[in-house]
Amino acid sequence: MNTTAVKLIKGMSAFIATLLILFGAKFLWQNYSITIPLNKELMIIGEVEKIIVEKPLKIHEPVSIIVSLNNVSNFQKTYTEINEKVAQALENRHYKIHINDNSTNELDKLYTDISLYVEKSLIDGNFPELVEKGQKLAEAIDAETIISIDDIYIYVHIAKTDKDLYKLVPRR
Amino acid sequence: MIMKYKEVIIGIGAGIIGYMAIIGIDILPFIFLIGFSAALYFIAGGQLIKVKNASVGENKKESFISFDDIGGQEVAKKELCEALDFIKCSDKIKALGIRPLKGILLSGSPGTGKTLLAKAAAQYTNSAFFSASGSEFVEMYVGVGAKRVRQLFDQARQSAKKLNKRSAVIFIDEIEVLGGKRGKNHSHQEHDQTLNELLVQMDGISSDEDIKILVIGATNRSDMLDSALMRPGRFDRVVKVDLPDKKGRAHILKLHTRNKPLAQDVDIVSIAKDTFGFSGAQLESVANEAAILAMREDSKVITSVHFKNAIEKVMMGEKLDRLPSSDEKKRIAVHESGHALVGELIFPNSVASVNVASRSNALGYVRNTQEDDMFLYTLDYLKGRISVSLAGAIAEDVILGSRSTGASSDFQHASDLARHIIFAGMSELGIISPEDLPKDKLHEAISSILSDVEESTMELLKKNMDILKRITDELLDKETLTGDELKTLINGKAA
Repeated sequence: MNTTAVKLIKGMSAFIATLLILFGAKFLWQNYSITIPLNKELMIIGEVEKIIVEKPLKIHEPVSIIVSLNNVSNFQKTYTEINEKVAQALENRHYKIHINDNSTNELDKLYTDISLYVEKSLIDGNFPELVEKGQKLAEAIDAETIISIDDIYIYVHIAKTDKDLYKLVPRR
Repeated sequence: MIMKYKEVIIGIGAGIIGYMAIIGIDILPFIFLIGFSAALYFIAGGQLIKVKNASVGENKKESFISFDDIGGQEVAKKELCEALDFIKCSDKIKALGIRPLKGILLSGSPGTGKTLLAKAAAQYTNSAFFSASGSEFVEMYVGVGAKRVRQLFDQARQSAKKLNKRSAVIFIDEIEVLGGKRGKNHSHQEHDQTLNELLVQMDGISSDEDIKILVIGATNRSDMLDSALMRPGRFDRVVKVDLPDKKGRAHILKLHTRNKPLAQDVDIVSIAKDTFGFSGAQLESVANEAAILAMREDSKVITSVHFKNAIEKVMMGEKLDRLPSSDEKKRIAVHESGHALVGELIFPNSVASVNVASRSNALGYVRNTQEDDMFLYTLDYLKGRISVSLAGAIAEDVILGSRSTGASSDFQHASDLARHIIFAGMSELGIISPEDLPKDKLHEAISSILSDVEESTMELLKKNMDILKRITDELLDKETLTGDELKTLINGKAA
């Protein structure tokens, strides 16, 4: 084998080894600094059934946290608690929380109907009307709708037997 | 070191940049910086990086040369060995309270074996051997030379430790470049710094150190060295490495012909006699050239003829195809016959060969030899040499009736010899002070010596006109006459 080929192989090996080392180190670091602390913090919350952490490939992308909920009586309280715990675990890092539900087509359709009143309430601020209309529409299909509001979101929880739909609507 | 793993470093760099690109870091500024650095590197012809990382000194692991492998130089070897014993027997010298030698300066003409002596010194003391040339420390950037001196000493210490040796020999060839008198150099600031660093490093060598360092410097211009470098405690000993004498030349020739097949007729002592004034390097060249000539002739052994031709080649250069006209050739033959005849008449057995074949700048030449090395010259001897020098031109005058420009270097040589006579107090002026002697007086004295010798030489040649003509004819016929053939012609035994 001539010298040029040996040099080329050495250079390529160094290139591949560097990439492997850097990505390996990144995986381990993300595991210890993101996944483990998030699991530790969120699994304390009783309503949290399962969490999936999607680590970002790119440096500026947010950490994506998919949370599956179970037996939620107060969606607003549960979400606020989850948000606080995530913020505490990830400190200054950007993140996105996705609430995973087990919705059905029927519940989805119901939310589509409710969403019109959600949009209307965002414009005219008539939230009591939203709550009233939501409950009325839910009763029509033997479901239950719990709508609550804070400064940031409108929390919509629609439940029918063991099926749930959770929606977070930003107020701005 | 960096240059050794260049491809690995490039691979790692590319890997890091690739990783940065994948994770979304903007790599354009990095690529720009790398491109800019590469452009600077190529514009500077690779010098920028070399300057930063260059170190001097080379660890010679293969130098298995002992003092027995060095011919001649018995005095230098003896003196060097004595100095080196201080390193070898450090416990003994500690007991006697002797300060170890810090440096040895080998001073002598080029090609006399100074480097070989240094290598043999490393072998003798079982030391790590580092060699560097004085010019390796010279750099246009201020501070680089001094840094290299420090690096060289550090490298020597570390290398000796690695090799499990108790001492290291640092050999600096052509040390006058580095150790020249301070303040006389144009780039004196950098030059002085480099020399100062060497002085500091040599001062720092103590007998208590685990690794003992001996600095061996070699120079052929010891007069140019700074006095600080020459004082005791720096270069404690100056070992004179002279041109080898006849015995030394024979020893050197024996060493260089060890691995060469020699014919029965080769007499090393006779070759040593013919190579008066040759350095060790020239003698090595003679042995090598003789072998090359033998190979050219498809000869399996190297004969004495090969050696004779090799001596002439080393002394005068390669034979040229330049063909002078027949008139010129005759004049050359007459000229060289004059030198040869007078040479042989005044100094019997002194002519080794006479040639009219062109070599290098000479159209013809007489190669002289002498029975024994001479160190003192008498007035008669010097006058005899002047006579030999003038004989070429006088022979042209006697036979052809005119002189030519071919004798100008002979006259220069004759004038130098005459000046030597005057300055040695052997002229009619008596003992003189060379500095205070007026130029016209000197000129008169030189002219007087030369005209006296010219007259006597003219008489000698006229008296031996027949022999001169016979030598000229024979030379025109054969182109080359050996010393023996010349003697036969002079003694009238020619056919």
